[in-house]
Amino acid sequence: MNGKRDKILAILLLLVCSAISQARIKLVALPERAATVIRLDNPRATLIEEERVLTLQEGVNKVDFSWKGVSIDADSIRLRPIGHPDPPPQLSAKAEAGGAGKVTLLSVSYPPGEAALVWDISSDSDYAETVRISYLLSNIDRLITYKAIADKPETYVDLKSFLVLRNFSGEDFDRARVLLDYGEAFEQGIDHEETKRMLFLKADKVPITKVWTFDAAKLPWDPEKLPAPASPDASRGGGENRNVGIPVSYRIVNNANSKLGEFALWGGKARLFQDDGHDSTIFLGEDVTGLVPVGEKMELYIGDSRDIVVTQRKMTDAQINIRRNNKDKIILYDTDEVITARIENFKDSPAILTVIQHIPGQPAATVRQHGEWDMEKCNMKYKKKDANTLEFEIELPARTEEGPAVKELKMHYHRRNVRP
Amino acid sequence: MKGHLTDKELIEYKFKLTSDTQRKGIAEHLEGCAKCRERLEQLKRKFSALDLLRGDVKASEDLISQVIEQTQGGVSNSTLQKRLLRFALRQAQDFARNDTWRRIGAIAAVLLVGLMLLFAHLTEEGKMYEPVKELDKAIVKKPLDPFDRAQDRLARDRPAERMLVARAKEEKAEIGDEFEQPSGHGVRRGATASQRVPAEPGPPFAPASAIELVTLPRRDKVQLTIYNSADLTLVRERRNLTLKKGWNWLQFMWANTLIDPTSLSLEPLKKADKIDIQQLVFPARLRELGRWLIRSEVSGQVPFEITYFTSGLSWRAFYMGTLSQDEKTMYMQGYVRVGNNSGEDYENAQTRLIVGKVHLLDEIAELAKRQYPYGCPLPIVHDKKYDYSASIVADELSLKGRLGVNGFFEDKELRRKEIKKEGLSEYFLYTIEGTETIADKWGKRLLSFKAEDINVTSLYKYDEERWGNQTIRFVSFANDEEHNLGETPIPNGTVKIYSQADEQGYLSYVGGTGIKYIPVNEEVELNLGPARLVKAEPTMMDFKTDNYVFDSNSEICGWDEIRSWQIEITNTRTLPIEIEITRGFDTAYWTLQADIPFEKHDATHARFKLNLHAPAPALASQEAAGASLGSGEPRSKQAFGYTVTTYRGVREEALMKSKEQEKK
Repeated sequence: MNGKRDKILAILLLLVCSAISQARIKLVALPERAATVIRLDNPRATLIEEERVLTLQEGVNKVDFSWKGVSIDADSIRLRPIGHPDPPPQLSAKAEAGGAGKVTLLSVSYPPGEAALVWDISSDSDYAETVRISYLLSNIDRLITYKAIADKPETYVDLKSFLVLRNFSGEDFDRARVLLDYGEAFEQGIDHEETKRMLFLKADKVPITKVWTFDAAKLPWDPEKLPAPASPDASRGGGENRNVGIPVSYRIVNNANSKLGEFALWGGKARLFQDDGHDSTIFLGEDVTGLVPVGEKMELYIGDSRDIVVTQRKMTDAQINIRRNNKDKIILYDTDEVITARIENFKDSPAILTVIQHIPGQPAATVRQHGEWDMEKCNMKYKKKDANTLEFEIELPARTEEGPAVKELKMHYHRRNVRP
Repeated sequence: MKGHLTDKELIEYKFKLTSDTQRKGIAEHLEGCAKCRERLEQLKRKFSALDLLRGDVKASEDLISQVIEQTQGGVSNSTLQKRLLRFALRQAQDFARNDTWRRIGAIAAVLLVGLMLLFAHLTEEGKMYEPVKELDKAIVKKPLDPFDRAQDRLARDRPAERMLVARAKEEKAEIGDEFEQPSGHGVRRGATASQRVPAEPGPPFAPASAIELVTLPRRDKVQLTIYNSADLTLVRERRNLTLKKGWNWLQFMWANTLIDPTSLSLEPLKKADKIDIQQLVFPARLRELGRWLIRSEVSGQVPFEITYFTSGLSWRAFYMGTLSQDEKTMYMQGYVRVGNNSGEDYENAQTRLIVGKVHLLDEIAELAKRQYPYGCPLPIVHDKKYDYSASIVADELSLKGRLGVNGFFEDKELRRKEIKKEGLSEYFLYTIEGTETIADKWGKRLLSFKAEDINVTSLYKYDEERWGNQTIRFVSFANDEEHNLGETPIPNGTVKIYSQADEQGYLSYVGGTGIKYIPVNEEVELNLGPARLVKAEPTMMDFKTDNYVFDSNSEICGWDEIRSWQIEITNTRTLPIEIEITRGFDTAYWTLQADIPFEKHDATHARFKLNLHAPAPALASQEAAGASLGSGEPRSKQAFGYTVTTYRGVREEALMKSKEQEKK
């Protein structure tokens, strides 16, 4: 009696299962993905292309595509028959004459209340048709990071670029071809919430230029006049207890001379190290770089140098050639300005300091930004970066036993036709 | 059993890989050591999240493979359905018996069979409807890959699904390694599993249990490079790893210490051309862990170097200076203090200190605490379960049971360690001789330099715009050979200055301040704060206006302002002083006449410098009359005067014109 009851119970359970399953008729096992391509050449969206083999019958076939727990751009979903595509009109006759079959995507429908769509596909015969389904998938992307190790004299770096694949799409990719916009494709599997880092580019002995830059618009002029630090445990003093660091950068050119130059370098975080000559390295600093096209420069700011000190002062600032209206109000004037910058190099090696000076424009914001000016006298050569910006490249020798190497820049200029 | 148990010992104990004697010893230790017991529990929890459990219900391998084939159209439905029904009935019989776990297992089996029947049913009917792409995480869309969901399922603690996963994993391993090979060379378009062309042997799937990986041996050497301008330490470890030829997985785990996973780097020190570090994987839902996939053409021991950034170690410089009685020379000692709040003990580490300002984009501690090593494009819900404050003793490096009273090993050689200094790029590297052992939460102080007979100048400054009506005391010297310094730059830090109060060597505290980074050959000025015994008092003695200019409307459009000032300086110290007085004007158009020389400091400031002698003892109580520089007689007070004319309005033009004429 118990055995009979048990059997009835089991059968009832099975019936319940199948009844529940009927409500969602579309839950069937899919054919395996034959191939998947993950294309990461656009940083804003990742394109997934997968091929599957659909068993089509002659006539109209309905293919149901639904998703849950992943962020697919519904408008981006496309299905393309690969084996027997519907040829364009001009090729139809030829295709028919050649006996080519035809699979045509008729329409796409969206069922209500579901993340799904239904393709209506017509087929002129029974086929095991390979189709390519493509769509944009969010939350799977790539980052690029760089690691550069400079030699001790800082003349070149061994550069490595790493690709970091991040998959938070909700989908596991067991095996896919990953494509970027350059370089070779590679096979990779990556699960949801997994992150993988792999070496992507390696270039040894890439020449670098070390650059120190003093921008008078960004850095304090006189270290002595720096305000006291805010923190309570800091010194009571002001600038005499604070350094003004001169930003230091490494410059790398993306060209063939640098053993690069084949493609643009993607932006990303770069960490720089230096060989310390004792089979070890020290960390110099890190910076983030933007996209560097071929032929352009990558500048990586690693930190500040406190062994180069610039003290700049305005020694003269007077109005001359004053013009007045008939109410004696000043309407235009010229200026007589002298700026001196004392540059000291306390390093035991020479350096080239780039000094950027700005000649301000009109004081009133309502008037045009740029101003007229002319240089009366300057003791160093400069290059005009734009109408109001000058760039000096000042070679500083190494310090000596007597003290730092000192150079003084003196600019005497006039701003013309300044309006009060 | 010395000290605490290492992770390796605990793992071997848990998986019964030790000898009986060792096992007994470990068990005895665990009885008496709460911390080791706690560590063992933590490891058990980790392995239970990683490891696969075996279920109670067994579906035969043959049945499962038939289901797989059937879903791909290989086996007839009727045969399969009969087998499934028989299986379901057997499970129903189990259910009837008085055994709770068997009942649960039986229900799960029946549900499983129901699902399989459903698939079979839909495959027959679904010839008009093509299969659906289902991307739901909860549904096994790839029957061959349930192991991919293993960790997620296990985290949800569903015995039935664990069971399925377990069998399928074994099945997957039997079907063949084709599924684990990343190379696509062998895959034909439209192929099914049974038709796959065997591809080149690819890397194995990363094993779930750490015990299957290359075991990370003890550190041979460790080097710490600590930065003072940021919470950043570069750690370099050397370890000998035993590789096998072919693919190797190396897992690196850490706990209760802040390591930036994005900085992890592994490099072979030998046979680098035969060893390829393919990739570094941060698995899903596992933290404080990274796995390297290594392709090796050699087998055996290979030395490797692992580097990473960590947080919690710091150092700072501070100084003590002692002025001579006449305040003309100073004896200076420089110290460095290293602190360890990293959560990890560092034993016998070569310790290096970096002086310099490094540019960082992110705080290392923040990178270490991130839920995902490289972040996540999705907004992250903070994982509240992750407890950073768990006080579990660190692994094999725990030294607390073996450390001496002072928290560090006694140095074998009883002498002070030297600090070697060298310049690198924009930094200075201080290398502490030998190795150091610094336990977590401990600090250490070392002498970095000392210099005697440094010639110093005491200077007092008065500048109302900067310091109000206080006179500030400065001590200045230069970081050069002339001052018995100049070997290396002086890192920024704090300095305390004392003076010798008497011949017995007692000291008096003069003052303290912060000190900036001082390059070699640069002058140093230490601001010691307000000077109580030196005062400067400016007084305006006269004010006039003159040279008014009127415009065509008879309005004033220009004039001169003439101010006469007297500045009185009082020195009540027993030593002569030098004082610098800076006076500012609110316009760049000024002229000045003074009793003493002055310097045009900049467009709006003039600067005076003068020396004051100490008061002679006999005159100390009398008021000195007038200022008499160079008279040779000491004075406690001195005064000088100056007259400044500032030009307003159109008078500014007049000044410029007169200056131009003077030049001509």
